[in-house]
Amino acid sequence: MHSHRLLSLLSVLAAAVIAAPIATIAIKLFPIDYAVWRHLLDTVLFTYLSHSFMLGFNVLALTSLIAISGAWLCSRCEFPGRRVLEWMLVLPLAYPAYIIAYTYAGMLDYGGTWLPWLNAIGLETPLPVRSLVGASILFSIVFYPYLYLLVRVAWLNHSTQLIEESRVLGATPWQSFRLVSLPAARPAIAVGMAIILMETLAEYGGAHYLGIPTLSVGIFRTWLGMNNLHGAVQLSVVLLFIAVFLFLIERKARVRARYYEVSGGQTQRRYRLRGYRLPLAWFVCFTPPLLGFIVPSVQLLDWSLTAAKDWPDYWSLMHNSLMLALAAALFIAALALLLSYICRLNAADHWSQPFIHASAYGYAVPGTIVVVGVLSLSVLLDRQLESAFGPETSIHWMLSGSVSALILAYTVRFMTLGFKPISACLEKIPPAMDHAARTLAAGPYQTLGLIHWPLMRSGVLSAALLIFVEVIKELPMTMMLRPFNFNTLAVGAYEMAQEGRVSEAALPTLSIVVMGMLPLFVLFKKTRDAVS
Amino acid sequence: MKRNFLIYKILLFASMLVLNVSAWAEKQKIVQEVNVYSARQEHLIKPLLDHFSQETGIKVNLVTGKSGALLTRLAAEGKNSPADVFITTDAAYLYRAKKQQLSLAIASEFLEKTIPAIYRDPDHHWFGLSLRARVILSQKGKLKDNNLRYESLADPRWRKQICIRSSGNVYNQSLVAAMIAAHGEEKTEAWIKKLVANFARPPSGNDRDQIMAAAGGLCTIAVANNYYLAIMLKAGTPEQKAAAEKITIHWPNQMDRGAHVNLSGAFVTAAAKNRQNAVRLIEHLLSADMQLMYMNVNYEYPVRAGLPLNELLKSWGDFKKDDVPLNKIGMYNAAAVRIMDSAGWK
Repeated sequence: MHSHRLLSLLSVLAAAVIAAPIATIAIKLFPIDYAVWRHLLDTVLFTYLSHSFMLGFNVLALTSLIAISGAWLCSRCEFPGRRVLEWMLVLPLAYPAYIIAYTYAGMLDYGGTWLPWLNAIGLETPLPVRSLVGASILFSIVFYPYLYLLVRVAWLNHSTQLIEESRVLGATPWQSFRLVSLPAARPAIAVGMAIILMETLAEYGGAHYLGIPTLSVGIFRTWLGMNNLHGAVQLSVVLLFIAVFLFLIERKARVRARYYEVSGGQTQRRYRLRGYRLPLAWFVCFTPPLLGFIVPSVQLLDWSLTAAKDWPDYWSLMHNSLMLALAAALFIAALALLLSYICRLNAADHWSQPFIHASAYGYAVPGTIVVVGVLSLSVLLDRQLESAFGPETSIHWMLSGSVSALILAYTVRFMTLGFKPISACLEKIPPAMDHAARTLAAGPYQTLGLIHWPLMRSGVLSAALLIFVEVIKELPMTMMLRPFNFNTLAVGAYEMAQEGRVSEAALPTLSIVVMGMLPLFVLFKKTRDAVS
Repeated sequence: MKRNFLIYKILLFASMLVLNVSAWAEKQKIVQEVNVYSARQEHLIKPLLDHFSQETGIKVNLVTGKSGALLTRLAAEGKNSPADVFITTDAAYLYRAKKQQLSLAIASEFLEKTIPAIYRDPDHHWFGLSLRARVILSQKGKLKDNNLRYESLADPRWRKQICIRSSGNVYNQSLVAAMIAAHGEEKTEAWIKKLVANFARPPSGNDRDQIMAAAGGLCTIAVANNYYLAIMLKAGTPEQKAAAEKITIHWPNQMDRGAHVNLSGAFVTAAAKNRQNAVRLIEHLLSADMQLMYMNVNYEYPVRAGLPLNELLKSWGDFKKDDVPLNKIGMYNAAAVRIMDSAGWK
């Protein structure tokens, strides 16, 4: 019992560290600047909110359509080419949304590389990439894999026995899908949709480039355009509220559908697809990776071959990106494991839970605002340490403008990506197993090591790999917090792309994608091996 | 299973340690250095900084980023900031830094002598490095008018024919600030309202995208900084080159106050630990060689008078520049953003 209490203390401490940058921002909330709010209300606030809402709604609708149908076909049906398509559906996750925006605008907008072809098929004007519809589609084709991955794993782990029973009892395939499979994936769907919505709301680079005035574009503008950090922080609280709200809904959905796996990983009996269903399945599973991965990759490859641009420090970019992503992924996954495990142990103990859950809200805060929090916090610590140890002790490199500050920022922002899947994984393990283990005199650590860890190893690995990919792609925080002479692939790519030199940005961009693909491959392999 | 955990932990700490220690070791080695926060992009500024290091033996440490973001970082770090020199791309930020007391007044005879008075701060806080003009562009032969003014962009005859990027962009904010300086807030707001009605599409993309759209026939007029056209011609993709060749520049307001010019400039930070090196670096950037080098990479006009322009800039001819004090442009920035919001410039 003793170690148990120590653990919860530790976790509350850890959660506090993650929440600290957000709290530092919260201090900046007051006093409320009424003049700015008055101005925003009178002019642009409604525009920001309505665009965020519409974009979020469209992206959610599109991604759930793509992801759920793809996951269903690949985990429940059998058809030629399934094993390849199943894997290809993950690939668009390797693309940052802003790169997709730049690449597609470079293909379809005025002066785009595809324009001659579009003209040839009779289209006079370019496609409206720079519109709400355009942005919704572009974001959807890179965001849907968050949902696809989670739902697919949920269904792979879900025993087919129930489905068979439902069929025996006379349910049509559609009824059995609606009544048995869908509820089984409900926690995964809730988590996936929450992640996608937060990702969409916090997206800045792509939305700004495509000219969609969303709330995060507005936050950036209030900060840098109006030089009003105060106002920007207050606006970002709106996003935070949305996140809390989402979280509560998701929580509720999950509690209602609490559901434990009796036995996972049985031999799957899949529907065999024949006739017209076969090309339909191919279409459904091939279109998303075609648009979200193959097309942009071919275009970028073409650009990287034609654009004469040397990247003399290419290997150091590669090295920095890799090290950062590795450190962040391991650190965040370890922390997420600790926190979600404590949540499980202390299910009855209500005082530590809010702390821990609060630490996962950072995902909804745009990276730029997280930066402000981390910066203020590290500067504050710097000053405290300086006054404690005297000005001669130069420990500066540890805090502001350091790799540690960057890792902290990643932790604040990406904690959800670790915490949610890992706790979802833990939730599926019946408490009876804990009780059995504890009855047999195993302590919490032993229970973790012997019972939970083997059951959730693939969940933890998936979380770590997902975070790795996110950090490789991450831009605003890396850009603003990095130390001197420290460039990453994303920074290199963005500096070129934002000036319209997309073709010269092709090499680092492709490298981001390739580096993102490797962990995705492992992630995918792991979940498949775990099941078959 | 225990072993798994252990490897995990060791990997984690090792990778963090390596990153921090290598940064620290790097720091200990160097004696003479200068730290730069630059809003000019790495590939543009790095060659100049390398040149400085070669000449002087002083190591330059560089972080690049957006002006506003770097300025926030500088402000948050306060007197502990490691930055010595700050390079930015718009006068509005130079003014902002001075007002927030992030810059330092420096006495340099060379800088006073080399930079024309209107392109440096009267209180010696900031110094211009290069000039760019915000110009009106159209397809060759499409615009016969030889006295185009920013004011006339609001004419109803340009309905749905103008491409310009969003009001979040500082170049547009400074252009509007210049309008405020010339006409006052009220008239400028009325002008924006009419201008917005003339937009061919909701503002999106960067300056280059506006030029592409004009070449593609979406709009008759694009507004952009002139060096973008040059870069498209000289270093663009085949598509960009083809588009840029169709386009010509119209210098605005040549019969009255002149075209709006802005500058990219530098200041020594108030927190600078390596002040002398910082001043040396700025002086170096104003040497004739470096001024020419920058002109030939990014096609901005050298701030230093009397230097020969390159072929392309020469071919665009001489033009009259608006000589409104650039601190005024900075001062009106907030008002500019406010009225752009209320006039509906997205």
